[in-house]
Amino acid sequence: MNSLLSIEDLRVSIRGLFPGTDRIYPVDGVSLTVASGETLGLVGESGCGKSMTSMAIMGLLPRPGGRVERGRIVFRGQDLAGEDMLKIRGRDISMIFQDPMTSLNPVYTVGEQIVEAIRAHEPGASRGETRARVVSMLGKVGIPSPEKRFDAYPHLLSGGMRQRVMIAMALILHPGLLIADEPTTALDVTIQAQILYLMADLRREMGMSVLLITHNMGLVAENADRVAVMYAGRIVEQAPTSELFRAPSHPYTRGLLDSIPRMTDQGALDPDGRLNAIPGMVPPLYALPGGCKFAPRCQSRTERCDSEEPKLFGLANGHSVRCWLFADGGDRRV
Amino acid sequence: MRFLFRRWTALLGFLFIAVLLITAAAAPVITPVSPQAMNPAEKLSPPSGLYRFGTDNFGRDVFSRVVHGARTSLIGGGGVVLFATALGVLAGAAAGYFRRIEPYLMRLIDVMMAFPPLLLALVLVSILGRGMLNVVVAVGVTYLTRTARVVYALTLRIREEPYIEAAVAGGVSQAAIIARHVLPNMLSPIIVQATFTFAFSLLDLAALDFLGLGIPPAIPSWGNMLSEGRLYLTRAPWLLLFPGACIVLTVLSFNIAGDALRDRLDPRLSRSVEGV
Repeated sequence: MNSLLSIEDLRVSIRGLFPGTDRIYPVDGVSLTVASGETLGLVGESGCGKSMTSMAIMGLLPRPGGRVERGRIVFRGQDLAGEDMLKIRGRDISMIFQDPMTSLNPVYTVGEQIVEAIRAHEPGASRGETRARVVSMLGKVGIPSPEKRFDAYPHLLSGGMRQRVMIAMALILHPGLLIADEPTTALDVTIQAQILYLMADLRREMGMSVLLITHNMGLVAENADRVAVMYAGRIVEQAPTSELFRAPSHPYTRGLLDSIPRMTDQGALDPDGRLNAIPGMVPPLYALPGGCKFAPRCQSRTERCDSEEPKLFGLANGHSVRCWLFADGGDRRV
Repeated sequence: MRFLFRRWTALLGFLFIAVLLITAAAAPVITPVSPQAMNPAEKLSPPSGLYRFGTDNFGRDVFSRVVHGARTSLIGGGGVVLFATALGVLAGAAAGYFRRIEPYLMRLIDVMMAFPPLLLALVLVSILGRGMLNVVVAVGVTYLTRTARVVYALTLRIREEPYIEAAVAGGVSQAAIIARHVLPNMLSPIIVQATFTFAFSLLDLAALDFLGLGIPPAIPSWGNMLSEGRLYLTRAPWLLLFPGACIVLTVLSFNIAGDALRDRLDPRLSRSVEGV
């Protein structure tokens, strides 16, 4: 497989919350690859390290205090550590954010903001030509009468329209990789679907890859080619989407899928008729358990889980799981 | 109705400011008598055909002095605004952006804010000495603290805005982000602050003049005129009426104009945008 982005054993540390506390590691030993034209879904709860992973890719770790401790991020064969990220951000790798209501600067028209995205990388671009490019891009992301909307201020547009503007801004320079960090969380469900279809269309048309960061399993099922599940800064399971949903293996992934409410049956309800939930809470990063990070909440845990952290074990069909149940390719599920 | 009323007052405010600016610029042309010319025979005479605002205790033309005083006041207030806004924006933005110097800079500003403005200005004038420039600096220092506070708070808020993050993710450089995203988003609060600074500094400049610590008495200013005229309050009320009215109307006009500007400059408050 021709990989566009590959992350190798990435470990990121940030300063502890209070002075004097130890450094904490929101991302620890993450390896993943995104192939050309592929959508990789990165799934996990709040605080599992998925956004911090994307910030590390963009070179935007919180400063002061955030740094890459170990590992490499390789994009198009180049280690990003040695690159001028100012040139790469927006041109080769761009990002769209969760909240389109606040991601646009209220004092400029939407057109001017997209023009700025071009100017940041092509200082000499002519006015008329830039405007034409922006208008055509606004049309491409499905904004009606783009010529008029070019001069609209963000507050005049709805949330869905603003997210379309954000997508236009992110894609105007035809980046190879789009990082979409919870791109539809702030939108209505019907608009979510429209935005996701739009992103899928544009991805095919422009041949780019997408790193889709979300906590929504349903979104991943429909939109990703492969899925990586993160927990406490680690990837705990990685598989092609159909494989993951057919045979979820890590107890955490199974817990996540079991806790999705369904309209049709009682599948997600426990015997008392309440929603299934994974017991316990995500451990805080400054007090992670010694062995498997999920062990304290796991129903299949053994003594080994408490003492020794499992590595990613490879299974068939490009599936890998960080769980002792699958040591040596076996399946000791009960 | 309210909208119409706002428009009317704003119109009047801008009109008065325009008249004031023209008057101040054309002062020598429109005054028939020099503001310094004394005519003891006509001293303390009420407003008449030649002396439209009457004369003072030396027989000087009050109209001429009020018009020339407008010059002094506008230059003084303008100087304070420039000084306070330039340094205040610099200090506030620096404290908001470079967190290392924030404790020192902002505590210094807090200490300065702890003094009543007029008292601080008095102290500074007594250190610096009298004179137009020194008075402007003294009053300017007291107002830069307020601008710095406002800008500091705005910088902290704006630097965390998602659109800043989005711009950074789009590859926009730090300098361009400050110039194109951070500062423009503070522009309207800064302008509003500047109009208030102008209005209040006029009062402080007049108060310093009144106390005899401001602009030297030889230069006609509204504050000096109030100071000199207060002895003749019952015999010649026009000595206080005209400069006093000028101060009130100017302060009021700048406040109204500041509000109107803020409404106009904030796109979220604008009522319609063509074509949308």
